[in-house]
Amino acid sequence: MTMGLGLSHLSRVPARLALGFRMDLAFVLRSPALTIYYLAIDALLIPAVGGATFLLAERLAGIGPWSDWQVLFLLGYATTVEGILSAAFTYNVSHISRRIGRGQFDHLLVQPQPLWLTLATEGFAPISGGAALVTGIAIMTWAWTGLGLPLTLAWTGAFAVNLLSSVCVVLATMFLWSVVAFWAPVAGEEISMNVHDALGSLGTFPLDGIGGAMGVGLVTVFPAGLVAWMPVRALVGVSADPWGFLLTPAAAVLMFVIAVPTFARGLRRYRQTGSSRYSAFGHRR
Amino acid sequence: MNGEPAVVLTGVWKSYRQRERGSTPSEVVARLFRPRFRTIDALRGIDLTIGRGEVVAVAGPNGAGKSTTVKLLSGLLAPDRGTVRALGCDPVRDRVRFVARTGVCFGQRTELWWDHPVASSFDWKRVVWNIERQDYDRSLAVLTELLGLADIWRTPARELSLGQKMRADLALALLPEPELVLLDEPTLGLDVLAKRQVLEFCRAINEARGVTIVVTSHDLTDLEALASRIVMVHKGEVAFDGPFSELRATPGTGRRLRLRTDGLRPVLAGARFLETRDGAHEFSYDPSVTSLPALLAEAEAQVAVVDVETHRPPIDDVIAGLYERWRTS
Amino acid sequence: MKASPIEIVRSLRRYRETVWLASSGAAGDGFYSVLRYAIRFVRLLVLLSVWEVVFASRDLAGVAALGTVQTYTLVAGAFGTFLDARTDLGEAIWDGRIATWFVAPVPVFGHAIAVMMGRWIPSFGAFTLPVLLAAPWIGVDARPASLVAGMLFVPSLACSVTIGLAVDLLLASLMVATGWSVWDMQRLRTALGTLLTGAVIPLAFFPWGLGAILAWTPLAAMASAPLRIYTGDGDAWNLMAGQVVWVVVMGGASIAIWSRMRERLVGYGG
Repeated sequence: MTMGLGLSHLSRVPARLALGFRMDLAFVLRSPALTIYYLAIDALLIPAVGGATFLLAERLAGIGPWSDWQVLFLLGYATTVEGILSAAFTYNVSHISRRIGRGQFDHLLVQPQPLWLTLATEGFAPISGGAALVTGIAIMTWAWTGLGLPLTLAWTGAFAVNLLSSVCVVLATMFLWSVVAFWAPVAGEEISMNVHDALGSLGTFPLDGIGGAMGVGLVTVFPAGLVAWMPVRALVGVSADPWGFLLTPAAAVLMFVIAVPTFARGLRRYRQTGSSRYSAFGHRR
Repeated sequence: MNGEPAVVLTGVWKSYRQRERGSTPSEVVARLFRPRFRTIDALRGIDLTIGRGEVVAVAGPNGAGKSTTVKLLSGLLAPDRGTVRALGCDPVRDRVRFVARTGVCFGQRTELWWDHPVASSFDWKRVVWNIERQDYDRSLAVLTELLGLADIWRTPARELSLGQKMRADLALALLPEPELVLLDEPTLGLDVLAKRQVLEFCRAINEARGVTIVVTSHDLTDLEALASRIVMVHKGEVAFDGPFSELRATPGTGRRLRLRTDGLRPVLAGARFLETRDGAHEFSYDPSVTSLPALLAEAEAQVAVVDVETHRPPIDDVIAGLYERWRTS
Repeated sequence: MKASPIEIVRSLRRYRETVWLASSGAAGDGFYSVLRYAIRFVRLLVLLSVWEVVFASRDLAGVAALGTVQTYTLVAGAFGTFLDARTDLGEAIWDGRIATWFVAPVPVFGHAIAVMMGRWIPSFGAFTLPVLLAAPWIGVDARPASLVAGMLFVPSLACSVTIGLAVDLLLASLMVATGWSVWDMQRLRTALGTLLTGAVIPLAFFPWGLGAILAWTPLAAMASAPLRIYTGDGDAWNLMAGQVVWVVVMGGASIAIWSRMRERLVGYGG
């Protein structure tokens, strides 16, 4: 059984994304008051998860080798990563364990397109899910002006690559852990949320000084360090290591290579056992 | 049957392993360390062939394997043993190609986008299924008329009643003009009118376009009017496969006799009394054993018979009788 | 009319059954259920290490001692579920399940609390206790600051749970009143809990005098107060008194508002 690689379907991606944009725009225009509320909630609450770190940095004039402006940039970067996830992988696409655990995966399997195409495009809601993205960029911009970083092509390129890599790392981690839901739909239903919360809260901490097995673990097995810490320490100059810009992209590729066959293994099991549970909770809403 | 069959199941086995949960604290803790499982054979070597353009009802007691059959046909499940072919494809291996030509509708599960009007869900379907605009417009026009979508077109899915949701879901499944339609309990929870609309619509598209339809349901009275063939599944095996008329002719199904009398109920040796309702007495009898004239003579010897009516038993009673015989055998 | 002893016993039995069902459901998937606790444990270990880094790079003698902060963090992690008491009420309203709760012979919120407590049982057994027992190996002293602190922690935790339940009820009422989604309510709750209750970072570490202001809020009464009592930071009796005040205020307000929302609730869901 394959996941239907069907790379010939790549040409359909723009149309799918345009569809998501259209639906999201219609949703927003239908209830503007409710949308403003959703956007305000997102704009305030998502950075709030890392706000504790920022407040600590303000109180202590920095954390470890990080200045308070650098910590602010870290917070903005982490919020932007979360913002991209909210804007591009909503409707429980990133929280795939919910779809699996609630028996909603069947809805994906009756669509005449490869699964990767469905997962890459079905959660695209850039307007209703874009508040955190805007907030994250705003925080980063504010911190960037405070840091006086040079805006060169090389730096911008490194920033963009690392940002997308961080998103990839978070997604791959959530999908990897979500595989549990194929074997244990009840226990695994919310596991992506547990992972997401842990990555989100730890991802806003400067992790310098955490050595040994834990330090290694935080950039490998449980890559909270790759959410923001590792790439940002290279971007804002906390670390002078020239390879610092490459670690997160390399990890993202490796995690993707591990996540895809692991998820496919879980999917094979799902095709053998099906799902005895079904709940429409959260399905396409 | 015209040409290659629409569906061929050959020696299909499907089993599920179910974890046994503890009901007392000690059992729960014990099962953490020594989990116990039991195996349920949902399908046991099923062979089934459905021709193009057929309408087939799949029925059976709860847990017989009906939904499993539909899931196997729609590619959601892979068989443990045996082969499943539908429209010339392996529904699992050729999933993308197969589902593009298939419509699937599960009762109580909606494909509609909850916070969006019905129109948006159809637009989504058009894009994801790559339906050409002119084909979409043509198909939508037909579906709108047959299923009355106009009055719900701009309503968010969350505000639809169950019947409206079902109509919209059915239309959504049929929008790409599939060759094979799989309906799992499509009339569950619908009122009489909504049920009738759904089933009449299915008949219409089958007659107009020769769409192959496989439908599972407990509402066999309605299905009898729709389907040309019924497959009864019992404990994972095909217990009956043929037209409804043959099902009715199975021993023990009999006919019904309603007698309206002067109030008194006759005792008929060749018939089994069922009930008295609205002043009429209903009996069940086997015409191969007891003739109708003999019964009427027996009744008239006891009471004054005012009116007589004979009819086939409701199909639900036939099925219930079968289920009861299976259960006790 | 006062309930007879038999009625009271029957009520307790109903709650006991609900608690039991909820706890066995949570443990139903065997050791897979433990995985989420593993994630929480990793998060806790990282937080403890972060404090070591913070203290190594700054002179914080005037603010707190590393050992105290690590004890605070460990206990906050171990009792995290209790310090952020949440029921399924919001979800049940959202997906319409609450209709079945209304036709059961137990109060609706009583049922929600029973389910919540049922889920606490495996959490306590699989996470809270092991974390406290493993503390010495992690290098953290999990003992309370004193015997009195340890004894006061229990009623303080009870107050914390009560305030958390009041917040839960208020948010559910807000959901019904405004039509907002359960996910936004949950996110609001999580963000407030993470930032403003002192559950992640002690309020003493907040800048601009924020900590002192937040200490007066019911959010601080949910987490900061019991944790400070446990670690002996501040006057335990004052902290408890503050919690009791919030129990009365929040409890009363939430019950009053919920009673008014009940009618609207019946027409809200599916």
